[in-house]
Amino acid sequence: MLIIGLVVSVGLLATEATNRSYNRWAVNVGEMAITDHYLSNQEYKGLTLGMEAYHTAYYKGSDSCVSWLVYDHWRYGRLINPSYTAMIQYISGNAGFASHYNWHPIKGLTLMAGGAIDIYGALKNQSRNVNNPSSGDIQINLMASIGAQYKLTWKKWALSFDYMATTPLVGGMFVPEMGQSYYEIYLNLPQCMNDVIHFTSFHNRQGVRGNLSVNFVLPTVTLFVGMTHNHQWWQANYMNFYIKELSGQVGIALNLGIIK
Amino acid sequence: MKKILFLIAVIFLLLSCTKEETVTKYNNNPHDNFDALWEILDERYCYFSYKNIDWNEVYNEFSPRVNKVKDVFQLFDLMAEMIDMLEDGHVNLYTPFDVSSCTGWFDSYPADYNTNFLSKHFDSEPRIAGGFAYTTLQNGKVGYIRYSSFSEGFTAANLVYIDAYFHQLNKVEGIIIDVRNNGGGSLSYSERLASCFFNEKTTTGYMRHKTGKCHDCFSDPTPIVTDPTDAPINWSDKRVIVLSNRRCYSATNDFIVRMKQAPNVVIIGGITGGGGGMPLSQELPNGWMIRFSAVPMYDANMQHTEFGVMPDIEAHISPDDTDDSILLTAIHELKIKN
Repeated sequence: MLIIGLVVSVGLLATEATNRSYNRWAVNVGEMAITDHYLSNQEYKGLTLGMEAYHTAYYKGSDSCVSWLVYDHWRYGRLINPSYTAMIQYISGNAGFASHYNWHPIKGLTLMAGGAIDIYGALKNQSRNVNNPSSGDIQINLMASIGAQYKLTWKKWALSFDYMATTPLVGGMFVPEMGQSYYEIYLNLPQCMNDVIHFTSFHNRQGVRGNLSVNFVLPTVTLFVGMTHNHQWWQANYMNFYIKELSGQVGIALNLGIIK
Repeated sequence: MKKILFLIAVIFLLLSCTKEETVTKYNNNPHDNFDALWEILDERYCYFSYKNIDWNEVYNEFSPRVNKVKDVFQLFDLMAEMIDMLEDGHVNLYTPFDVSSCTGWFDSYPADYNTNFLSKHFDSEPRIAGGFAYTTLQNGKVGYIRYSSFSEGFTAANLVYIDAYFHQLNKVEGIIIDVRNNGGGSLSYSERLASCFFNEKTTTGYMRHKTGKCHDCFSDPTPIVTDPTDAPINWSDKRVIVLSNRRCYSATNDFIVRMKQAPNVVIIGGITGGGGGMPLSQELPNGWMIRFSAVPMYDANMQHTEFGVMPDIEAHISPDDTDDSILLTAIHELKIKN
């Protein structure tokens, strides 16, 4: 996905040369908590490691008003239950494509608003369950997305503060029925699709994901530190699920538009 | 565009006012752990109606006794006593210091298995292939395969070599599969082994699952098909006897259910132990794990298999016997048919 994102962004590179960070790669370390009632009624907490990539540029001819964004996020979590008797290993990936309208109300400030199509998949493996040792998440969501960037410049140096947040609006997700084994789902495909695929909106799927970063814009490269907060929760088939994450990140950004 | 920005801002504002579901309403204390256990089973256990169990009555009987609990061992014993009311070998409470188990389903039945009686019939010391022990009986006329646990795996090569061994002797007239005292294991091994005895795809049972919290909220039945397409060997044309007893449980019960539909297969021995509910797991606030029957499985006639499956020919080893009467019945049955 990283490669695809890069290829797409390079292909669409005919953009204005600005100091904006077009291609960002980051690593994350933080804390995560999840609940998955298919596996357990308890909350599991622990360390999470992650990688993120963003590739963004203005659409051709949009006069710096409309931008696109391709992103992907990867997470690994090693999570323990409150009594330290079981563990869940969590692996997930998000990939999405967003478009934003950009305002420049004052010098140095950019506000963004738009939407994104986001695909999320995760695999959770519980260390001791019988016949329900694993649970999978698959979701596709149309997200609302907002962002802001404020840039301070001093001679040839610049410092920018970026924040972007998304929230799911509508979509679809996979959730098995509460007593349903994956063995049975496998046996009964595609007849059971109606039972395990759910339309989502605010009634059963909520969440906010945000990323705040401070960017040190150097002549050819941008270094940044930041934090990601992610809080997603959903309900279906009498079961509740959520993910809470707070992680710090460091990364590098390259503006391919100004690399000669 | 300002309107769009305003709308999106409102969405985020509204979202900040929503409240996520509580993780769990139970804390880690004896009362909450007891209530959590009761509720997990109330919502997810699949045989309340079939077994005619009044689970609210059970709660009323046991809940007041939590007040008298002084330590985790007494709490465990109380919980174990409560879940024993379900009379289900698939309901177990796992703790760091003990595991509860219901034994009522086999205690009052004959053992129907004696290795000393059995071994004197072997032509030679059994060979081992994966989870199987195999040899011949009756001077090579009967192939004998012992499968003691469906938790022990096997490969296609294991079965191919056993088949080759029986063919090498060139006088094997029938095969005995002995799954007595096999307490179960993986359903995949059950399906895989059973597939060797079918000549076409056959619906050998059904399964359902809980779709909600009520005791009778179940899905429509899903057919369970035994498919010989990928079977490593084809023994569907062989005369086959499967030996069973009350200790045949869970995946072994499933194997017997499948084999009842196989051509040329006869089940001989005692009624199986059952365990027709595929177990799932949940956990209590204190970290103890509860395993429970969640997915009821049925035979090809849509009958429950939770309390066991009757053999085609009933036979037992009585206390006065000096030989394996079940094995002798099987050998006799093979000779009669041949």
